[in-house]
Amino acid sequence: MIILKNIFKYYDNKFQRTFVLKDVNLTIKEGEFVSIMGPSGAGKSTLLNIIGMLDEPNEGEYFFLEQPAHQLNEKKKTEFHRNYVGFIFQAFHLIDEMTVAENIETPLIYKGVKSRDRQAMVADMLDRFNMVAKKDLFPAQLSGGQQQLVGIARAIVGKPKLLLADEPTGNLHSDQGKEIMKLLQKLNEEGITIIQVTHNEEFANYGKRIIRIADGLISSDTKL
Amino acid sequence: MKTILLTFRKLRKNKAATSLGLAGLVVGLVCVIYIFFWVTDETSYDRFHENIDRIFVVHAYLEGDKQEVPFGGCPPAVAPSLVNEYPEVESVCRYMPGQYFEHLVAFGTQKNMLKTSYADPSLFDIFTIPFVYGSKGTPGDPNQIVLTQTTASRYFGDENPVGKIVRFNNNIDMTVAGVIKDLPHNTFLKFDAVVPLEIMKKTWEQENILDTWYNNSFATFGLLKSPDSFDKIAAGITKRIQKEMPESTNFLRAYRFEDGHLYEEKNIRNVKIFSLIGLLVLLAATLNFINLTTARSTKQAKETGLRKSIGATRANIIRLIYSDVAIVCFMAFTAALLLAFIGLPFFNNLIGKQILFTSLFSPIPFSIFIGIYLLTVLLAGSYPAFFLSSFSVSETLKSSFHSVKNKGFMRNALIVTIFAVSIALLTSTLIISKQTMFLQNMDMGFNKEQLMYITLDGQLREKAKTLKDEIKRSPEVLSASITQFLPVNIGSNGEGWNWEGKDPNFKLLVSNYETDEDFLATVEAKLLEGNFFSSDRQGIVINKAFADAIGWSSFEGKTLNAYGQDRQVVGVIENIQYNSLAETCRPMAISNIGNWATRYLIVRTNTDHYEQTIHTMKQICERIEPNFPFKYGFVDDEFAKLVETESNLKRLVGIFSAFAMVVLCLGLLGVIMFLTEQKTKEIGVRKCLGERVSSIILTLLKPFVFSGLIASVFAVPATWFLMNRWLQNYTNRIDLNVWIFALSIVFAILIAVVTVSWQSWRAATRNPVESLRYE
Ligand SMILES: Nc1ncnc2c1ncn2[C@@H]1O[C@H](COP(=O)(O)OP(=O)(O)OP(=O)(O)O)[C@@H](O)[C@H]1O
Ligand SMILES: [Mg+2]
Repeated sequence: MIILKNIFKYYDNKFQRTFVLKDVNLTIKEGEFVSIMGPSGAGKSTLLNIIGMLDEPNEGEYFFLEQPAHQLNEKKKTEFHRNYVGFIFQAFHLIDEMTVAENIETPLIYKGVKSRDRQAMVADMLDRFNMVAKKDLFPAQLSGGQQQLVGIARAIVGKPKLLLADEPTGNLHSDQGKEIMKLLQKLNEEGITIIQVTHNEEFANYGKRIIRIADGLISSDTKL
Repeated sequence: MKTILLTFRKLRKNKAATSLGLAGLVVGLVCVIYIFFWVTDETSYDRFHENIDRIFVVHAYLEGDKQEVPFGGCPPAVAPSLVNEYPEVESVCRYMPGQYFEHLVAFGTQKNMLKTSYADPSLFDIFTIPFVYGSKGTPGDPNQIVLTQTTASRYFGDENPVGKIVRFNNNIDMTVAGVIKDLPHNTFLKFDAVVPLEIMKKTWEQENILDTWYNNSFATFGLLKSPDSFDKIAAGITKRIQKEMPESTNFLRAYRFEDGHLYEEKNIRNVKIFSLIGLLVLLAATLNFINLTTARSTKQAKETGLRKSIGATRANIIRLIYSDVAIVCFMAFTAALLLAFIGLPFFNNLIGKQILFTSLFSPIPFSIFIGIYLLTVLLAGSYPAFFLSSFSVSETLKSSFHSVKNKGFMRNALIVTIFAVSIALLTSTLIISKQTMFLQNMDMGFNKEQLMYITLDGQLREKAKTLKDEIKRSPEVLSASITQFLPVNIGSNGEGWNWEGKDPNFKLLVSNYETDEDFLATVEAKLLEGNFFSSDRQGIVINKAFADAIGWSSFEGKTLNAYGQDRQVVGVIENIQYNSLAETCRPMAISNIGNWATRYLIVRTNTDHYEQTIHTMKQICERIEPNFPFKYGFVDDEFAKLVETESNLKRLVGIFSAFAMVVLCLGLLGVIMFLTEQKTKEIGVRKCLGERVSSIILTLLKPFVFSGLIASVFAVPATWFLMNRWLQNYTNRIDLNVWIFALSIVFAILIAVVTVSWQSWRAATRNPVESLRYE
C-alpha cells in the first residue's frame, strides 16, 4: 500500500542544510498497524506528513496504492485526502465553532456526500462512540479524551483506507490514552491500515509493528 | 446557511477584536454612505429631464481685460432668433429664475409672496415637469399662472384650482392654468409659481423688454431635434449679437444642459474630492477590519490546514473565507445603512439638502452601492484568502505554529494608511475652515452687523421717502437709505464707461448701483477721497477698484462718461465687497437713486433685540401699503449666502474627517489591544525585571509615533497639492503654511498616543504574575 524509496527531507537555512530524513526506505502493506517511535526531533512527524501527503520529500519516490504520490498534483492529493486518508492529531484540531456533529460531518461535505447520507453516517459515528447526547456540544465543552474521540470519528467517518495518528494520546492522561488505543486496535481489526507516532512504549505495543527512528534514519523495524 | 451560522459563532467568540473591527467598518461605511448620498445627489442634479441630452443653454460673456466674464443669461432676442435660423432647434425658452423675484399672489384673503419665475410656456415642453391639474395654458395669453402643488394647496386646499382667478402683484388678474407636482430639490427650477414671460412687459412697464439685443438677464434654453446638432449651434452663435449691434461687446456661448451643474458650475470638483475621501475612508475602514480579523489568523491558519487535511481544496478554502467576509460585510453594510437612515435628517440639516433615503435605491446608485459592497468584500477577503492558504499544511498543524511574525509589514502598512487618511482629512478640514473663516471675516468695506432691510413693493416703492422718514423716527434706528440692491448683491453692470485717456481696447465691466445720499452713513462704508453725494452735491461716487482701474491720482471734481452722459465724480469710497467672495472686488459706480430703482430700504439699528424694531417697521409698512405683506431681512444673512458653498464644504469635510478619526481610533485601539495581548508575557517579564511602567509604555508607543510620521510623508505633499489647487479658485485666499500641517500631524499622533497609552497602561499595570500565567 505504501512504498517509500530513498526519501530525503531537508531544510536549508542561510549557511547549512539540515537533514530531517535521510534515505528512508519503507514498505507498509494494507491492514498493518504500525507504531513509529523515536526521540524528539527525529523526524517522525515529518515522515508521517509525507506519508499523508501533507508534506513533500525533497528527494525520493513515494507510491501510495501503486500511484506515484511524488508526482501527483494538488487536485489528486485532495482526492486522496477525501477518499483514502484520515488524520488524528495530538492537538485534536477540532473546529471550535462547530458542534461535535458538525465537526464529524465536515469531511463528508468535502467528499460530496449527500446531506441525507451524511446525517446517517454522522449518526452512526455518534452511536458507535456513545456520543449521541453530546452531538450539539462544542469542543470546548468536552474533555480531552472526548475531543480526541470526535477527532477519530471525523477521521474515519469517510471510511479511509489509511489512518495516520501523530501522538493521538499526547494530550491525554493514560486512562484516556488506553481507551483511544483500544479503539485504534479495533479499527485496525476492521481493516483500516493505521500508522501512529507515539512516545509511549505501552501504547506502541498496541500496534503490530514498531519502527524506530533516530536522526532521520530508521534504526529498527520489528514485527510483534 | 451553515456558513452564516459558523460566521456568527466565530464573531461571538472574538468579541473584542470583532466588535472593534466591525465598529470601525460600520463607522467607515456610514461615512462612505453619506458621501455616496451626497455624490449621488450632486450627480443626479437635473438629471430627471427626459430630454436631457437634447437641451442646451445659451449665455453671453464679455471678453474682459484679463479673463472672460460670463453672464448667467443672454439678451431676450437671442432665443427667437435660434428657432428661426436653425431648423435643428425644436423650441426655445427664456427663463427668469424665481428665487430672485417675489410677487404678491392673492386669492380672497389668502395673500402670499411667491417666488415667481417668468418663463416662455415652452418651459413645460423642454423640461420634464409633470402636471397634477390643468396644463401650461393657452398659448399667447399672458394672464395665466402655473402653481406648484404645495403652493396651490395653500390657496385652494385639495381642490382643483384650474380656472380660478388670482390677483398677481396687486394689479393683474391671472387664471390658474395648471398645478405641477413639486419638483425635487436638486434642480435649477426653483419656484412657487410660473407666469408667462410676456407679462414682464406689464410688470416692468416696458413694451420692448423682450425684444432687445442687450440685457443679459434671460436664462435661455433650447431643445434640439437631435443631440448631434449641438456643435453646429455652438459654433454658429458666437457673434450673433454683433449682427444686430456691431458695437456690442457681448458674445454668445452654448453648453449642453447636462454639463451645467457639474462642469459649468464646477461642482464636479467637490464630487471628485468627496469620492476620493470616500474611497480613502473605505480603504482605512477595510484595512482596519482586515487587521483585526487576521489578529486571530493563527487559529484560522490552523483551521485552514486542518480542512485541507480532510479534503478541502484551495478553492474550497478561498470560497469559505470570502463567504465569511461577505457575511460580515453584509452585516456591517446593513448596520451602516440603518445608522445612515437614522442620521440622514441630521445630515441633511447640516448641509442644507433634502436627500431622500430612497434615492439610494434607483438603479444606477444601487448598482454602484452593490459595487462598493463587492469591492469591500474583495478588499477585506483577498488578504486573508491569500495569506491563509499560503501556509504549508504540515506547518500550520504543528503545535508551535504562529502566523503572526509574517504580518509585521501588513500591520504597519495598515496603520500608516489609516494615519495618512486621517492626517489628509484633518488638514483639509483645517484649511477649508480657515479659508471659510477668512472669507467670513474678510473686511467687507462696510459694517454688515445690525443692518436690516425692508423689501419695497407696491406703495412702499412710491412712498419710499415717507417710509424712510417714519422709520427713522423710531429710537432704535440710527439711519436708513433707499437703494436699488442690497450691498451684497449688486445686479446691474455694463461696459459703457469712458474717461479721458482710456485705451479704446480696454474693456471694463462696471457695476452700476443707485442709492440715496444716506447710503454711506447707513452701511458705514469708508470714504477715501472727496465726499458722498448729497442733495446739494450732485454727482457720482466710485469705488477704489474703479479708481485703480482708471489710474488717476485724484478724482474729486473729475468727469467720467457713463453711457454717453458726463458724470462728475464727487468721491471715492473703499471697496465694498459685493460680488462673490472668491473674486476681488469689482469696479462700481454709485449714483443718486431714481424713483424707478427703489427696491430696498436699508436700516441701521443700534440693537441686537430686533423684535420691537421689526414690530414698529411692520406697522409703518402696513399702514402705507396694506396689500403687500411686510418683508424684511438681515444683511448678514444675505452675506452668509455668499459663503454658503464654502460653509457647506467646511461642514461636510468636518463631518467626514470626524468619521475618519473614529475609524483611526478604533483601528489603533484594536491593533494595540492585539499587540499588548501578544506582549502580555513580555510586559510581565519586563516588569519582573524591574522596568518602570512608563518605560514599557514608551516602547509600545514608539512604533505608532513612527508610523504617524511616515504617514505624514505621504499625506502632506498630496494634501498640499490638492488643497493648493482648491485655493486657486479664490482670489482672496489664505496662504498654506506649515503650521496647519504640523497641527494635524500632532493631533493625529496625539490621538494615537492617548489611545495606545491607555491600552498599554492597562496591560502594563496588570499584576505581572497574572500576565505571566497567560498562555
Ligand atoms: N520548517 C522547518 N525548518 C527547519 N527545520 C524544521 C522545520 N520543520 C521541522 N524542522 C526540523 O525537523 C526535525 C524533525 O521534526 P519533526 O517534527 O519531524 O520531529 P518529531 O520526530 O516529530 O519530534 P517530536 O517528537 O518532538 O514531535 C526537527 O529537528 C525540526 O527542528
Ligand atoms: Mg512530532
